[in-house]
Amino acid sequence: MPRSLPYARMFTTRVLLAIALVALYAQALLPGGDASGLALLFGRFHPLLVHLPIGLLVGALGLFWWNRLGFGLAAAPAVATLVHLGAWAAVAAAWAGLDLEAGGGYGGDGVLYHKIAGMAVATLAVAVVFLDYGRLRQGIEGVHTAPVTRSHKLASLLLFAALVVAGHLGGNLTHGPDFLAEHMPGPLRTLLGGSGRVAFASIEDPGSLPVYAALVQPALDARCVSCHGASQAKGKLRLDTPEGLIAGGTNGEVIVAGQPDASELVRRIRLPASHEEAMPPDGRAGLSVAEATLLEWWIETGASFDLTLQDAEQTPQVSFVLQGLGIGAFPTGIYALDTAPPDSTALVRLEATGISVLRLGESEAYVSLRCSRSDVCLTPEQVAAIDPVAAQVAWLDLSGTDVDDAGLAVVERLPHLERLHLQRTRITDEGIRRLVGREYLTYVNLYGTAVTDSALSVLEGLPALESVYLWQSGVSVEGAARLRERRPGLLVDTGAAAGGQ
Amino acid sequence: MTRPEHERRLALQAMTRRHFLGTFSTGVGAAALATFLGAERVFAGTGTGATGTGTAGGSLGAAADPLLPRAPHFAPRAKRVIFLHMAGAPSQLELFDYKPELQRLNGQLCPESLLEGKRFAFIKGVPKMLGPQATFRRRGQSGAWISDHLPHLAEVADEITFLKAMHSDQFNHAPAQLLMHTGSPRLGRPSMGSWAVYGLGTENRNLPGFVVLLSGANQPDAGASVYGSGFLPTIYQGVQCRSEGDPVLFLSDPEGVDREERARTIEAIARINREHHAEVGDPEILTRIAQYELAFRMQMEVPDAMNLAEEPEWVHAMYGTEPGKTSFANNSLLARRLVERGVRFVNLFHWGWDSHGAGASEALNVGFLDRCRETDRAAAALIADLKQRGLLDETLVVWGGEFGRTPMLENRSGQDNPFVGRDHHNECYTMWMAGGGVKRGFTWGETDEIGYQAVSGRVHVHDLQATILHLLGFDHERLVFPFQGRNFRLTDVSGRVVREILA
Repeated sequence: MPRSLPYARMFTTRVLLAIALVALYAQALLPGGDASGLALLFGRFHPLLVHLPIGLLVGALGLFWWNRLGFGLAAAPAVATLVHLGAWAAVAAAWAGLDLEAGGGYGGDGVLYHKIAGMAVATLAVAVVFLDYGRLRQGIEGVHTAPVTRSHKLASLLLFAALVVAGHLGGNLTHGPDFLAEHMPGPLRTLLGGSGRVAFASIEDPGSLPVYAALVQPALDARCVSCHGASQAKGKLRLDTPEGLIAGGTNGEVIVAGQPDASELVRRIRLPASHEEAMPPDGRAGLSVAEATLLEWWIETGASFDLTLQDAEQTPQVSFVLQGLGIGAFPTGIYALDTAPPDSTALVRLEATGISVLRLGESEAYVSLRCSRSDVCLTPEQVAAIDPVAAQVAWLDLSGTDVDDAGLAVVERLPHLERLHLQRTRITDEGIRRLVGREYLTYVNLYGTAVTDSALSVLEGLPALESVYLWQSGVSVEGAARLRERRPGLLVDTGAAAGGQ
Repeated sequence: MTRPEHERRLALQAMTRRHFLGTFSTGVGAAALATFLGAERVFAGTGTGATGTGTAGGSLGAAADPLLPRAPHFAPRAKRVIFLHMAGAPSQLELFDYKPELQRLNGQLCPESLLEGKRFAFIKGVPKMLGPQATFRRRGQSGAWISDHLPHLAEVADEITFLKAMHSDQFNHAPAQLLMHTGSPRLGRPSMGSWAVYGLGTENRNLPGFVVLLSGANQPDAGASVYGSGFLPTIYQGVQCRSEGDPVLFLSDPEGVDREERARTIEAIARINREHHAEVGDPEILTRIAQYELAFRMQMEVPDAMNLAEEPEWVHAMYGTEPGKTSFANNSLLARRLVERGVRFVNLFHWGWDSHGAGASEALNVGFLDRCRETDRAAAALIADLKQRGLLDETLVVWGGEFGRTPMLENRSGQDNPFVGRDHHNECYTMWMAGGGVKRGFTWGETDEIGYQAVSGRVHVHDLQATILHLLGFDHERLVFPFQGRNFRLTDVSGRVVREILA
């Protein structure tokens, strides 16, 4: 014979719970005056209290389903007790939440939905407690627990759902909307409404990226907006919109365009984490060095909301950071290729043959070559010395030398040739044919050569060609005009006397 | 360039030159002979300098020649610079900065508010405003304002970027010229051309990397310091060439001395210099040895490079040159011939733009017009000629003075004066650039309606220098030289690349 349960006391506690729930609704729906100091203090316990209903109610549901699936036999009263305690905790947590909101700094849809979900948890938990009560009573009277009714099951499932929703929305308020989704695979992230992060490297024209929208706001979103955003604007400061950044907060403006050192935002971010004014507070992860560098740079360049990457002057530090993001430089043509740096011994040998070598930048693979002497140019020895660095030759200056069509054969070995000076040489149309297939050639200087109109088809077929100089060559005015017509945008210079370009 | 890099270079220079000259007992003489035999490789260096490949071993040549081409920080947009310095500060208000409002105010007393807290070089009391002493027209497709004093430049307006809001810290000629060329108003800093050759080397080892050409009645006010090498090794200083007579003084062998004897003489001097260096270790002695060698090589190519008579008649007509005379036109044509041969930096100075109005030669209505006539045709021809030769693309041409001039009339004597002039003004003036990586047909910066203060797009002299170095492939903050315990650079502690004008 089971010990009889204290129905009377069980009933009393349930009535008290119902009264508490009604009071909670009153608190939520009736307009209140200024929150008292005690209420404000209680509100700060919301982040602590919310974990109690989650633990207790999930524990109760777990036990319930544990039984249902036949893994064990936890006594029904134990499950009911957990639900009961969970209901009290849910009411208390919701109450604290209302007090926290009353303390100010919160607003927007995120908070509203979280509040609705929290109230739903409290309400459903109380409902389940009463359903449990009825079931327990029946069960005790009939020795065995009564079967679970459909409404009881439905309420339990709704309670669980409300718990998940309220918990997730609350987490978003605390950690920011992207916190959970951040490391999820793409499609799942989109499903959860996380912002699709821009994959910089795949952007076709990184120069057109807006500095603020692409580099600054995402960092603020990740590090600051959970407290300074639409749902919560501590210190009346919102960092989620340009308007918010301009307006500042209760302590005044936070950015001074052009002067990062005078900007409160930068000062707070720069402070050591132990300083009481440091942002973000409480040891939360702040802006990374890279993010802070970009933020300061954006302010220094005038805090414009439209400035694009290509128009902003980069400091060496900023270039370094941008390179890390894969958008530091905007290489095109041969500079976008992955050409190995030249062999330095080969350059030394080349230099020793009388070809002057200029490297096109300390971290650039390419070199510029120029014959030191006009009468010793592209000898077999020099050509052999060019061979080991053929892939690295970008600029070749043979102007005014004795080079002829046969000597120009070397060009066929230079796949990455970009600029070619042949002015004042003995080159003819025959030599120009060797340029076929130089897909990166942008500049060809043929002034003062015997090249004629029949070379123009070769030039026309060079895809990257931007400028060609034909003054004092054998090319006719009509030929030049035809070339201009067929290749709009190509600079075809035939000299000042002939009407310029 | 860091200190170890610099020391390594000096050490290499020392070791290899001694090695080179020691191995060949006849020194330069043998080298000269080798040149005649076509064995250029004896001369050719093994080092590529900043690329870190310079080694003393290996080939026969002298490594780490300070003038060998080296690696810039990034690919250069301009391989060469021609700087046309109009010494004395030409008036922007008569050439480019058109101010109709100033014409309206002509003759009125300058409001006190404009004078408060200002200092002028000569103006005292309350001066009168002076309207533009020129008629202006919009030129080219870009519609740039250019006065009728520069009809030829107007023809190439679409090649030019105008910097309308240049400003300087200095309002006296010598310090302002020093600031423009060395980055500091005081003596002792290397000039822009020296920095360029220090960083990039030269492409033609038979010519100096940095050449200076003077015209006009006087030297620049700051003297040769505006093209000196400061604390850089003196091999980087500007070599002044004359446009009449021997281009470089004492370059021809004296009568009765043939080339071989010359070589032996130089070798003897070099031996004494080397002994002296072994004793005292002064790196300048090494520079001296290198300079003798350069001079010896220059004997081969300079007379040819400087021979204007070689140019066809129509080129002379284009530039307005008269071979055998010293003129800005001759120097402009020389500049083209030099950059064509791989000279890195050519600095032209044309004196006489200081239009105070105290006398005819310095009056806006007399001497100033002469200066315009002397320079306009040649400067425009230089741009057009470089362009048709396909060289403007990689040659940067810069034009300007050390500061600008006031919108107020300067009347020093206070009496009736047939001559009009303006005082020094450093807060806004116009310079222009063309070619080598700057925009075509573009104007940057704006001044107020009387041309007294810059309104937008201000460009400080240091910004201009940072931009020129940028176009040459250098980060101006990283092209440094250690001196007196710290790294120095052309732009000292300031300078911003004017990205807005980059093509």
